[in-house]
Amino acid sequence: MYSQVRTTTNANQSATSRFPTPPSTPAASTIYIELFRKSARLSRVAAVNLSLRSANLAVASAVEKLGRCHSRWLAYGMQWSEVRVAYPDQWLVIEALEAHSENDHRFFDRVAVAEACSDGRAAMKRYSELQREHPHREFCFVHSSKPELDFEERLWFGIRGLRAADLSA
Amino acid sequence: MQLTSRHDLVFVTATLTYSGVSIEIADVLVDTGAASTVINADFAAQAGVYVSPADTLRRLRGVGGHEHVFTRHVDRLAIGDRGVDQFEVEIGEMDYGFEMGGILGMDFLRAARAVIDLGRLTIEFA
Repeated sequence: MYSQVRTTTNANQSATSRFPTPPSTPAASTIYIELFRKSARLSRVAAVNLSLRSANLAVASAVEKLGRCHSRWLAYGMQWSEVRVAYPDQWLVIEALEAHSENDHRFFDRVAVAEACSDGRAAMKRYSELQREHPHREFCFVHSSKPELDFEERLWFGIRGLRAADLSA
Repeated sequence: MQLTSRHDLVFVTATLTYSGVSIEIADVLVDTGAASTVINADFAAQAGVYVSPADTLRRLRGVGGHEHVFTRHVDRLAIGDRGVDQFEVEIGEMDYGFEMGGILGMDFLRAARAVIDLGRLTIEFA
């Protein structure tokens, strides 16, 4: 991405030096200067567009390769307010490092961001996979626009959380 | 309506309607031991129900573990002709190791006034 930007900038500079000298008539020279300015502005816009597009493509392909989620394990826990600043407006799979239940609500006191996901569906699937791989840890999917980490908690009997292997055991 | 039995559990086919779209969901567990009703997120997606940032998130805590779901009011949830309009369901991945379309809990079964006959394996409505 950076090399592309630099190349485009160099091309602009050489184009500038190759630009013919404006004619002496005042009216014509004004037109010339105006044309020159426009073309310079257009190539700048094109360069910015190009670099933005290649940046987007790079992110998109990286996200695609990693199965629509990318991993960002953090060494230490964060408060939800800190997570919201670090990961604004996106779907996340988070892990509770400390949590407690109170008045039929579950509170995640300290969390780690396990993954940032492209959409809610991907976050739910990834949450489910991680929870299955690590049954004794506590994950959840959530969008960082939520002001509070607030989960209603319901008690459930029966098959909840059991897998076929457990049923046959 | 006939129930089917697998793993000593009973299942039925339900109809979910959301924003005018109706889909049939097979293998929905009839569970009088469950307080609320859960729909498999794959089926919910077929009816156009996807989790949105503002949805209420809920944590279901049970003997065997816990699961996070989101809740949504659907236009109607029905078994055959009997349904409940504007019904709140929980939507989750339901990764239990065997295929299941959802769980009909007591909230639905009572609202629909279900009569379950385990001798004949049928579900009728009073």
